Amino acid sequence: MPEGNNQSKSRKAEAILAELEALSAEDLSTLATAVDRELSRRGLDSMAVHANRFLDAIIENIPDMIFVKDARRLAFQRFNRAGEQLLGTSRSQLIGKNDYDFFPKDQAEFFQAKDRATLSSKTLLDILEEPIETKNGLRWLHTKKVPILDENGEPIFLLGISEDITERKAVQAALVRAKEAAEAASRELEAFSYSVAHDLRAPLRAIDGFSQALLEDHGAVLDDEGRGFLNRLRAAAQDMARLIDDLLNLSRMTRSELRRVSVDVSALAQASASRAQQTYPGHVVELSIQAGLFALADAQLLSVVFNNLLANAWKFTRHTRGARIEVGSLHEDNEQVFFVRDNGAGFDMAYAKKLFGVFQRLHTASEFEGSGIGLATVQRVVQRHGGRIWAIGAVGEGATFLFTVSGAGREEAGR
Amino acid sequence: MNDKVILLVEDNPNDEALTLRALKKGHVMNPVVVVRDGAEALDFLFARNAHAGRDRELSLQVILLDLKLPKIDGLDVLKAIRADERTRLLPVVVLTSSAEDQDMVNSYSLGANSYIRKPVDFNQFVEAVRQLGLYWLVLNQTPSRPLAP
Repeated sequence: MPEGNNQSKSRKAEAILAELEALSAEDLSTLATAVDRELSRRGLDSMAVHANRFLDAIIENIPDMIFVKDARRLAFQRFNRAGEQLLGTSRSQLIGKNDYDFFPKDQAEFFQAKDRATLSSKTLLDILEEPIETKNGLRWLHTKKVPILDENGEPIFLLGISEDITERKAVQAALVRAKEAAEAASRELEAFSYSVAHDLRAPLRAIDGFSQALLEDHGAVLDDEGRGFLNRLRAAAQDMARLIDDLLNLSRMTRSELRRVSVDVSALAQASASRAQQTYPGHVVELSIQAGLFALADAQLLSVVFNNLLANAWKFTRHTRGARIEVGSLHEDNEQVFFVRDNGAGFDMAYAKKLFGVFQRLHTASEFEGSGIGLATVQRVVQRHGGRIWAIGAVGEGATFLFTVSGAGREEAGR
Repeated sequence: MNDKVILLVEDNPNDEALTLRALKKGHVMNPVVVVRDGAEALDFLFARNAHAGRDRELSLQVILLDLKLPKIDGLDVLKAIRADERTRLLPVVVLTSSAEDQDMVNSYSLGANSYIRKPVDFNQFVEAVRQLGLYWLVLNQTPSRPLAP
């Protein structure tokens, strides 16, 4: 029965609807008012109430503070939940009041000046940062103020949307402070390196120079042992000078700017290999470098990597008959991995992690000379590129150093 | 040529002694005037203050300039030398501990003629000084005129 009833009613409604098209705008408006009045007389929600509830639901659930002020008195007309939470004030206390009722005078003046500016310009005003005193303390807002105009283009309301950026501002400020601290530390390190370069070398020059002077001018009054001691002094001074240079080089790797270009890795490795060969002229090595290797990397820094890795390969194959050194690349998880492989002295995988630490050495100075800074420098360069480096090897069976420079990790800033 | 003076600007007495020894070893026999900070170097060059009474006929062949100096540092001394009509043509060899690129670039861009990093190995130092002497004191030709303030 209700169905039939509904159908007959809807047929009646359809008949009225069919006539609507013929009505003038004025008549339609009158009709709408009449329908609204009839709905509320029967205790039903009017169309305006429906629309309002829909709008309220949206406004209420927006996470930013939303407020509407009337254009004349700038008193609050509407206010949402996020706003209540932000200010710590309920909307019942706010509605009908203005800024002077809640905020310190200078803040209220600021808010209303912006309101008036928005209304008179009739355009959106974007206030990137404004402080606001709330029951929960001082907060910072990013606010947009929008004029709402009537049918004649005159402003009747002011809509405000405010995002609470207090936490974001705090994080940004902390970041700026951290950056400044890091820069200060970096400048300090630079000054330190500089004075290391100058001031630590000067006494070494004196030790070496005067030992030599003693040998030359007074060598006759010393026996062989005495002259031997002086030669040891000189050798030690020169060792320390090399150590200082290596450390400076390591710190330079950290400081210098990273400029990625397309690098001909094969050519670069060949140049490094030639250098290594010059350092060990009598050492015969069977060298193989894969052709056509390229990388997007800092050419100067990458050459430091190959200089070190190939010098090491030459050094640690010095006692190997049929020494072979190979440079190539392979693909692992879509990433290009370069490697330098030798069949030299190798190392115990138990100490693999120690390889890249500053001053860490797996061989005694009498077996293989070195400062223990080279691989630390290599690792620094690779890390600057956002890459990884690792090594595999076994004692007496050679070593393979593998690294990436593609920056799949995060590239590190220089200074 | 031997009467031409070398000006050594060096604050470290050990380095001073070693440089003088290296010059001797490198058979550089020219008289050497040693000044120990940047201000004194400029006083000597421009014959003023403590050096107002120096021999005005004296002819400088080359200046060996350390970078890290008390009072006025080496780069500022170099700048002052190049800025003054009386001294701007003098050969200046920077002789320093520093291997920082920046020091080298600054030295050359301010008009240094050579840049030598003092090696720790004394024999290398002697060799460097010998070559230096050979070039700046024997081979290099400069307009002949006294350094007259």
